[in-house]
Amino acid sequence: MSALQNLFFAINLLLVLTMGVMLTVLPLITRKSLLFGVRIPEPALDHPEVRQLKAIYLVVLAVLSVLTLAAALAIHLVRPAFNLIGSLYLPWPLLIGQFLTTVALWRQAKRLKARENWQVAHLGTAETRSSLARTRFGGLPWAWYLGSLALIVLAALVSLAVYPSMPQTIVTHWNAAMEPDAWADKSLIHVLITPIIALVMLLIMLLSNLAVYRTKLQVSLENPALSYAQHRVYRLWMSHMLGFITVVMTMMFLAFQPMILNLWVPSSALMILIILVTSTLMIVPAIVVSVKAGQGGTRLKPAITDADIAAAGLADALRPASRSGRGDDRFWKLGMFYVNPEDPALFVEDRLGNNGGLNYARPLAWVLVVVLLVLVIATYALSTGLLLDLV
Amino acid sequence: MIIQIDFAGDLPLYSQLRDQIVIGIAAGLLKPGEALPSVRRLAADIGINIHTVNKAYALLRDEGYIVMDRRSGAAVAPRPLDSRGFFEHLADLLRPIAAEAICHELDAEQFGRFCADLHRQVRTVQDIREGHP
Repeated sequence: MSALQNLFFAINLLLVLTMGVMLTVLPLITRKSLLFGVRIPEPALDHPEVRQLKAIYLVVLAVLSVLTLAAALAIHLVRPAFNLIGSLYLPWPLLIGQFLTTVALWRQAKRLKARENWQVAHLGTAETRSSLARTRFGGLPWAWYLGSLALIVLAALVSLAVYPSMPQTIVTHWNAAMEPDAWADKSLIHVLITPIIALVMLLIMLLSNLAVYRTKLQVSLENPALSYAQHRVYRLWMSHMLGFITVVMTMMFLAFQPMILNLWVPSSALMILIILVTSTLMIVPAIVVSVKAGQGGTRLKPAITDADIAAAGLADALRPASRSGRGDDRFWKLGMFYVNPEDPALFVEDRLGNNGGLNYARPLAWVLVVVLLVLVIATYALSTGLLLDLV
Repeated sequence: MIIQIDFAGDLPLYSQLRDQIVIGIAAGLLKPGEALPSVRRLAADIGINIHTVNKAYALLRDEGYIVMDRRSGAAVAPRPLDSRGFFEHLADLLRPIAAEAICHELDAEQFGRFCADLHRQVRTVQDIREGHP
């Protein structure tokens, strides 16, 4: 087994471990009033069966994660040539297992809510200044994206400038020991493919940031003023996190450019270092922000003045008392997919974890799903085996 | 200001929205001249049909509480409001309520005090926000 294969294995393990941990902690970072996609009243949170359902999830997901890690080890021992593209398949059993567990627990939660006759209000909430601010694009951290774009344009220009002086036949592939093992005639598309991939990734990241920005806000009915303040900070953190990841991702892609141009071939140790450092820089901020902020910033304690809270409380008192009923559960299919034809919102908060979700009653949601799938598959197809067997 | 619509409430959604914006203006949660969110964004954030918000905004514009501009969108109307015909309007609104109060045996003084308390309740929010409770 080569050092490179051991490294792939280490990266695979890290990937599965990260995914396992992130999926396992989902109920802990979800809004407390949501139990596997079912809205329950605050007093029900301490009900023993509610705790039991959460405990079942934690145990099942921990076991699934350990089994997937074991499978990764087994594959590594049987077929050590397993590369990074393989690690894209590795987490699938984990993802499918998580989906099935969540659906099973959603059904349990629904039954529990019906049996205990838990009633919740069904309210639609908005904060006028937040809604107004989020119709404008000024709040996005454009510096990260423009910086990435500048890097991409620079790389493309340098490539075009170098292109005429490149020999007719160039090295297009290196083996694990970084020795050339494939050659081809030079072509513009080959030289520009990395900037193009980086540009596509930039657009995907910008779209994600826009989604975070435009997401319909879930609001705690007990303290809406706090919810909006938390969401403001959460949006800021998420936007900068996504912008930072975009810059790192852009630099990671462009790091391959000197190789493509046959200008300079790094040692395999340096290659490994670049990939390890960039993937750490992308994974760690994502985990830190999700765990520290919680869904929609629910774990944050932003500064809001007493006057704000008092005014919000009094403003609450000016409203007619809300009626309790079954809440908004019926719009959440399987407790996961939001389908509400009356709601013009496209991006909504997920009901488990802190991801974004879509309103599948909107045709644009389906267009987005298809476009994202095509983009991701195309990116993988293009980058597979392009330079190295790394990706 | 925080707007909250009760899907299980008695009043139609557009009417709940209209009432809350008027209360928001009265309580100082929305300042004269303050810009309001676009119809689409507000509808998406609350999770109601765009036509519902349109209807509420059109009603508020006709009543003079907000102004709408094709380019800059909706905003709270500047003060003072045009109060011509307001007393007739108020009388039409209050007459059936006064009648209900009589049916429930409230005398004129109790009814008056009740109205004054509600008036004060809305004003208190403004006072607290401005830091002199």
